[in-house]
Amino acid sequence: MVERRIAVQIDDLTVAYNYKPVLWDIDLAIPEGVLMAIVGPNGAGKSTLMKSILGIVEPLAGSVRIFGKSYDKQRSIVAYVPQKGSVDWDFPTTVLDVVMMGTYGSLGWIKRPGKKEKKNSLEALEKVGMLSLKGRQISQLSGGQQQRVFLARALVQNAEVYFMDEPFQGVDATTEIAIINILKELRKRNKTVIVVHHDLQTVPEYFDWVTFLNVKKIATGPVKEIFNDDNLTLTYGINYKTSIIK
Amino acid sequence: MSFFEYLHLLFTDYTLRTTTLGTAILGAVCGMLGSFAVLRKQSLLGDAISHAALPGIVIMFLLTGTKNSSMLLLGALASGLLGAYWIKGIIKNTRLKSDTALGIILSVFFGFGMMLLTYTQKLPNANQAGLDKYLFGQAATLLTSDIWLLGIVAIACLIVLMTFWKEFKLMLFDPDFTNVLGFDTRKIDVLITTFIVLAIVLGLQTVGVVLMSALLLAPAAAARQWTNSLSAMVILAAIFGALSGIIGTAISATADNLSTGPIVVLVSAVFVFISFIFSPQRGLLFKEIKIWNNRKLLEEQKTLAFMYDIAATHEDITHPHTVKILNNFQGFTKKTLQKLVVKEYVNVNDNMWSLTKKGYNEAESLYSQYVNDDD
Repeated sequence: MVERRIAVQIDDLTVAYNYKPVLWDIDLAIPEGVLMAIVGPNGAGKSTLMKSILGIVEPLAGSVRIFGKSYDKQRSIVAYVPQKGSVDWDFPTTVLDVVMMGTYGSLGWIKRPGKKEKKNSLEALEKVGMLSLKGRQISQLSGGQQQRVFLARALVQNAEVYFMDEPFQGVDATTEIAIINILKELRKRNKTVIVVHHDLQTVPEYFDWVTFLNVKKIATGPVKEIFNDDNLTLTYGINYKTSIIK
Repeated sequence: MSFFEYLHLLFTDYTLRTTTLGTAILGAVCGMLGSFAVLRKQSLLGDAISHAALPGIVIMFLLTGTKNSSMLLLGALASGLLGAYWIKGIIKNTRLKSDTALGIILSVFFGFGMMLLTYTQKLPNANQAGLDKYLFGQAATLLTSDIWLLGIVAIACLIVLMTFWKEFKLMLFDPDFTNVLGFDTRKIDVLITTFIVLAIVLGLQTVGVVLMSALLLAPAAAARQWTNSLSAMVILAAIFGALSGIIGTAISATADNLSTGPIVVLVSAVFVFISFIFSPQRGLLFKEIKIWNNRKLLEEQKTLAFMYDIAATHEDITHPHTVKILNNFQGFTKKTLQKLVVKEYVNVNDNMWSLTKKGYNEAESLYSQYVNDDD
């Protein structure tokens, strides 16, 4: 096997909001071109891990490198899909406008989006199957449509590494399939996609790489090798297969 | 006084002209900036800042002994900014939520300001009289120089808004994403907050510390009802704010002894009231009408569907049936039957009804419409 480049390298990362650490001494190397799930119980620090990689949360200690450089220098090759509940969808704007926000980063301060940015945004909307709703007020979208809009906004960023915080939360089966197909297509193009994920059943089908997290890193590696009962029990504290009453 | 007499007065009377211009510009600036405060859910920040400005005014007077409004407003600016800074500090460093932080700063600063005000009024110096006008404002004291100052701030505010429009919009909608893209939200935040504080401080002389926040919020809240675009909202809010100033000044000028500030605020409240009820998209009235119409339509459709099921059991779909059968169907009323007749979906003869071809097709399309609706 050819040695793959490391897309995201995390060393000794520790994050604390108040007293107790949310993340403790995380070491993680994510190879380029994987579609990786981060799994773990509520409060395990999954979202926080993502936010500290992206500089939204200030870590107490540790370092994050993206293709060998700090995030500040690599912003232009990183895309982010936040949880859809993190914004107010009653904001007065349209679907296309939200997607265009994905182009703001490459534009920099003051400069306005032009024809090229609009064209790219429309293409992204088409990919997520939302082109017909481009002029719609965002308050009139269903949960699945909101998620698609956020995904389109990330696609417009045209990045190498994608971070997605629970993109499957509260969406119906049609949207879930549409999203996972787009993620798999990104992987095909050798992009690195990192997803906070909750549904353990779908991990082997959707992802090829997985990280078990519960404040500490429990395990990380190919799904085929490490997605097993031992690691699940270590992460969640119970064996989820035998704990369900039959 | 007729409208034209008033218009003539507006151009000839110095005080009236200055007051009208002042309140109009102030209303426009506050409307624009208020849109941002409302969308950031920081409506009460303006209230806290305006109350926090009071001690600054009195301390400035005690230090310098002048009643020069520019000097006093400088004091207001300093203590207003200090208040805003402390509010943000409390939110960031304690577990208190923003409403609590706002409440604490508002009442502590205002209480301190009132204490200083009563203390100054007992001083043996005739000069202190009139400081209390900053509580409720006194638009008639506006001078040409104040108008210039207001105009300059309005233009500066407009330039900044247009220059950083993209960044403002991005931060209002999704602050985390803004940071991830590499825009420092702290810088954008400082810019917006500074202008909000500036607008509030300039409004103190006209509207006063107690009512100032209303002028910031009311036009914006009203504008939000009429549009789904941020730029249209900001423009509309500016127009509503300016109109509130112009109309409010006119009312207080034509009726004796009514102070301008409260009237301007009341006029802006009328805009809010009208917008909340009558706006076509979000207004209460149209919403109720829409819901009512929708219910009626659904009742008709359900009745038609019920008749369709009965008619479908016959080879001849237009075969008549007794009206009595319909009583088995809950939600049926004579009125809905009449409406269906008017729409030519149904014929009624004596106590017998029959579907028309048109009604049959309509009922059929209803079925497929609700079955294939996959939203």
